[in-house]
Amino acid sequence: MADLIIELELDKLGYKYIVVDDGCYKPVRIDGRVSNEEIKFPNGFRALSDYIHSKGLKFGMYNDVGTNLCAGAEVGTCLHEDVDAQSYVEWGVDFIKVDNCYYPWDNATFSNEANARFVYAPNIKSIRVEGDSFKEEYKAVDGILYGKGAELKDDHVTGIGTLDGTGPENSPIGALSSELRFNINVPKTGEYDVYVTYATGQEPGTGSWLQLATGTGGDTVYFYDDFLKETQDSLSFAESEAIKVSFKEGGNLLRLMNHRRQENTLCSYAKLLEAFGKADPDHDVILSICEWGKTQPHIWGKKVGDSWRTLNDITFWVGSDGDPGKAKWQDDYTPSITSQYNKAVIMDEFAGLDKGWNDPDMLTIGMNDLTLDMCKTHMIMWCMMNAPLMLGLDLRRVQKGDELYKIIANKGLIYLNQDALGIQAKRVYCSLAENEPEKEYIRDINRLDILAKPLSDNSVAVSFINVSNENKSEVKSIDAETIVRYIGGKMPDKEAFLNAGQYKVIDLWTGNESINTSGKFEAESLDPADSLCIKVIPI
Amino acid sequence: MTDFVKREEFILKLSRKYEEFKGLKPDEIFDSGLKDLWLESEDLIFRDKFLERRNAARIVHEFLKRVLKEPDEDDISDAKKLKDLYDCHVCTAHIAQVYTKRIMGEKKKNVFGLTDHVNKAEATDIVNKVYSKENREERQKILC
Repeated sequence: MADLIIELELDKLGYKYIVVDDGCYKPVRIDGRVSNEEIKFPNGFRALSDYIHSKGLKFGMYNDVGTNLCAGAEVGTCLHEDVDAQSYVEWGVDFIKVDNCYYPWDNATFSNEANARFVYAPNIKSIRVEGDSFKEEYKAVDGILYGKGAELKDDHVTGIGTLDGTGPENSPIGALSSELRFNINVPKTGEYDVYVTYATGQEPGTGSWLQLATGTGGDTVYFYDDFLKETQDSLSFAESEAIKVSFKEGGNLLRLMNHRRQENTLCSYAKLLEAFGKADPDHDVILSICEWGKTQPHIWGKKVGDSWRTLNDITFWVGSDGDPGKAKWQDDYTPSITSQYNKAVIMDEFAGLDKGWNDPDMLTIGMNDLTLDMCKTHMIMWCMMNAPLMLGLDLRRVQKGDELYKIIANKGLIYLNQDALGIQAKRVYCSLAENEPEKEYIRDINRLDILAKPLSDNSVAVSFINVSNENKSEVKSIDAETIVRYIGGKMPDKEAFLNAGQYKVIDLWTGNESINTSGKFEAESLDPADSLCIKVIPI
Repeated sequence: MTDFVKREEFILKLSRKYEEFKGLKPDEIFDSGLKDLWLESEDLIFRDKFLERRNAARIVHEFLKRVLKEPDEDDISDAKKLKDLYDCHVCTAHIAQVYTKRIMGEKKKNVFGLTDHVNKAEATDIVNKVYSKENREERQKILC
């Protein structure tokens, strides 16, 4: 593949990383270290790395924050971060994708299901607060259910934790976790005893770990962050030991919660990142977080990584030698272009130069079962969303100048993706809800979206995307004023764009140029899964 | 006493029913499987460990494709009812195929049972179904 990247001159367009994935290691550690699978990589990783670097390219590898890799090899980085980072530095690894299978601190893929006890609070029935001449009981039914995910069941609250974002059901926008809150009014400032009546479990929705805090945001003060003593089962309630909490005179917000799902995963990725820093502080490595959106990494990923996968895989049929694999336009779960797009397209506010990048998984262009229009629109979507452009196709199937090549090597689109402003396109129109383009559509693809992306030269890329499997014959348009209303705050000079007398419009697919004097940009008929992508330059 | 099968036992049972592998020594079969990519190196290293259902699915699917030249099923919609299908990532396609081909069934209702072990009766049934499409008419029963 390295040879073909050079032969096809894809390196000149920015395709620089060659990344090996799961299946590349011996299934057990040798003398405590990860090592190469000898049939596939007979000369070892250093030799492979040297070869790739000799071509002017960069070398990427794969591992996992759990104990094993997803395919089962017992070589995950958990508790081996330092020695593994040392190996990767010695091999000259420039990029590492890090998975989340067999993760010991959450009920992730192949993890013990009982690990749910770490990431959900126990079921809560009531709390009792006692202090100097003060005693009050607060029932869960009278508490405030904050966020999303928790629910009142009979006389107790269950489901206190962070939503699982691996599948498409949970929106990445809005509340992603839940808490049970109480307003506690005390007569004077001081230390009080809080007793919690709870029942523990080891299943999604009911765990054993409780966080108890007062205040919100920067004023949050934690008073408990640990397991509670296990109860017989999730409906056998017991009262906790006294938890000392400081309240001030008057109203206090008391929060019962469990945000460990995010915190645990963040800490594990941080540990690996720190290990790279220790191994060689001058060695730059791109860390690609691949926990499939499970713990809402768009919130925390910027602290430890460069990009974060937003969902489970885009295809589970990746192919092999002689088999190009299969991909789909539409699916109820995550393995399709539109499943990935539908989530990532509304996540623009979480990405950027100072944060990192939403990663809706690799490009499936060139796999079986996709039409050329689907491949073309796939490329437009990923470029507009600033998604990492990782080719998932066998380059031996590509000839310079053929249809696949024209898609993956479209300079205009790649420049959008790599534009110096680093701003992900925003959806500014959706035919299903014209005034709510930020609304999420998980499975309803019978629609037309318009995206707008500000560029560093004060131009704007506009894409009209027929997400559906049907022809969209009606003319759709968007005007400069609407574009500025949505993305003006991120444009270098919105007034210049808005007040331009005319615009040069370049069709990034055909290269055709035209002059627009109306300030209204439109797409006529679009075939199923087809799209138009234009660059609008104010003159 | 458990009657689970080990990886090697299953691999030999599966392959030796095929003319080309009859009479070959275990190491010769492993060499061939690794070279022709219907086995992974973990199958060799973990040859004495009990076989998990996800690995049985992988070995069977690769054997069907690469040795018996049986094409994949296009419509795997039936397998989508398995709640753990997509948990498997790298083995999802293998499970979808062996389930759709009615070679392996569910471990519990709508659950494939990725890490459950394969017992001897189950292994025999799988191998019989691999070699005879007539035997596949009835999907493997829940064997837990």
